[in-house]
Amino acid sequence: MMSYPDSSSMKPFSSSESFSPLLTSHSISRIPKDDQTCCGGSPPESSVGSWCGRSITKVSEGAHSIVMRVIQAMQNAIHVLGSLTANTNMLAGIFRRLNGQVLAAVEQLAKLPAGTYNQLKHITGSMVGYVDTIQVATDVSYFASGRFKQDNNVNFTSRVFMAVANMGGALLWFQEMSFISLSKAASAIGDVRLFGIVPAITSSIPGIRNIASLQRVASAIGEIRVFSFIHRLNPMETIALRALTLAYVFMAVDAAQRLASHNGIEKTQAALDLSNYLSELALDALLTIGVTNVVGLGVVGAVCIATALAKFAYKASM
Amino acid sequence: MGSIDNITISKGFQVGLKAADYVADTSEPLEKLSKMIFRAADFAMAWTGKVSEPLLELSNRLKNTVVVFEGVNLFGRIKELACPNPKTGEYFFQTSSWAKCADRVFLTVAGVFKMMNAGIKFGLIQLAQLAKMSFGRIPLLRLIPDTLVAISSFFSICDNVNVVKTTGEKLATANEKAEKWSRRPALIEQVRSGNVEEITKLKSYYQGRVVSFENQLDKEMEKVKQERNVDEISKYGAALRKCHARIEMINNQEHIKLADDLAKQDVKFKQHKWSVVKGNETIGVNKAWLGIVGGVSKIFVIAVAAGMTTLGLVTTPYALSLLAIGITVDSIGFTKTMYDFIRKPQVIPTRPITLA
Repeated sequence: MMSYPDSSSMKPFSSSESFSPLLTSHSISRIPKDDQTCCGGSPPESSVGSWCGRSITKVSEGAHSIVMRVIQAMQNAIHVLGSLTANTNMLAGIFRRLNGQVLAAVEQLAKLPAGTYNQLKHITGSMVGYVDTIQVATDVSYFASGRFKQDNNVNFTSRVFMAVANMGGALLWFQEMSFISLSKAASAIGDVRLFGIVPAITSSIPGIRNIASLQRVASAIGEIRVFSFIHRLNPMETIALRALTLAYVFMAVDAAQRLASHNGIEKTQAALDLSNYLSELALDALLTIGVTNVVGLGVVGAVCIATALAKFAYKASM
Repeated sequence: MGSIDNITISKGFQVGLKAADYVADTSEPLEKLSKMIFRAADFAMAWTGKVSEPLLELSNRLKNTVVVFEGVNLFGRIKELACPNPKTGEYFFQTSSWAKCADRVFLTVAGVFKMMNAGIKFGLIQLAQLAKMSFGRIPLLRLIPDTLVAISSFFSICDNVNVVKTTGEKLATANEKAEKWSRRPALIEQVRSGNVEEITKLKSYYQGRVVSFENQLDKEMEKVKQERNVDEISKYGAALRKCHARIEMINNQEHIKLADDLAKQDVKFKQHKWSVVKGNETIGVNKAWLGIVGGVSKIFVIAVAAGMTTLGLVTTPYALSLLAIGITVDSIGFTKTMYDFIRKPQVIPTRPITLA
């Protein structure tokens, strides 16, 4: 149990006292009730003076207390930022929104130099493509290691769609760099004659090969291109985006279920998760219906980033 | 034997999957992997003499990604220095040696300069004058971070050399103890059967221990009363009494009694404990050696690159050599990161446990 430091003996950066170095909401709840009457609560009756519910005898102690709180708030922020930047999934999500919507809005509002805007767009796009490609390894690990057995059906489904989205993103990244040509691959797959062996078989059977009508039917079967629909299929980008949308749908459902069934910290976390997924779905809906207002989309993109940061910050501080 | 191989393969596969997860989810190893890939792409193009558009594009994209990762990892370094450990409440400076602290500080400052470089490169910061300044042929904004990284590597080497020394001593002690407890069951049987040679060896061993414990006790008792470690004194005292008792048993030729006394200790627990300690110290020594090799290779590559640029040696063989050394350095760094992740010290058992 971390005890809140006594302000009269407070020394910064001391390890000899047991104190809560990062002032989180969780640690605040552990502070004795008297100390929580900050900014509006009534001071203890027997104190000479009071600041934030603790009795003080000098003004300097109050100032010291403010300084300590500011330092602890900064440490909280650095801690969350440090944890965030170490998490590539979170970074990719933020960079995806920066690349997609926010940068365009900033460019329009702040009139960024064209070179800077193009470079930033290129960098954020590279980052997202690279991380999506690497995330395929996480998806493979999730399924190959059997971790999916511990997940509920909704979460599992969201992971499946996320894996499809990551794979699609990886293929698109390789296509952008001209490593592969998805259109050529689609054309090759679409031209596959799955039953091409049927005419060869029928023509080699002695009794059947002389029956002309049967040979014509076998030839027709051999010409069937089962995968020809791929020529008319939507491009990979659409598949990847739709898979991502579906992943968010199922993640939102999972978050809603957790919101309904849990209490306390888990309920708050579920609420923050849900807000993030809903903002992503809202942005996706706007893009789908064809909204082209750059600033508006930028704002929604910024909301997605903010909710992602909030959900991560809450998790990191718990 | 076939089933043991399958278990080993399965375990190895699981470790591989966990490692892949770690690399994909954490920005630091991903940054190292990116460096390895783009250097390998550049090496392949320089080696073949052909410029492949896809490889060139891949290399450029990964270079940009590395710039981003270096920028974001700076926050991780600042967090390490500015925030205390949430579990222990202690700051990095309080728990690390001066060399390690210096290493991290220089690395953090180098990170700041790299971020500044990135800002100038992408037109976010206007420091055109500073960007044009150079020391000889080397731009100042490249020389400063490289120098800081080299200094940080030097301090990292110093810290790791200290670790190798101290951990090496602990490893030697752990090896000795593990060896002692692995031979204990056989020794007990030999004492019980009255093997004169073993009993004589045992007696001289305990006599040596008596001298050692008496020296340790004298050192403690010489200290001022407030500085004496009471736990250590009682530990040495108990050990001294035990040694005297066993020497007396040997002198009185009470072999059975001595064997029973030796068998009282939980041999299996001691064997397990010291094998865990030995494993942990081995991990520590290996990590320190990887750190030394990584630091030396980093200083080497920075010196070679600076020397080449100063002398104007930008021909293909030198460029190829530099790329090859760069890939090696990054591989060592990546190996160290993965070793740190995969091989974690085990908790040392403190209570007698019943082993199957």
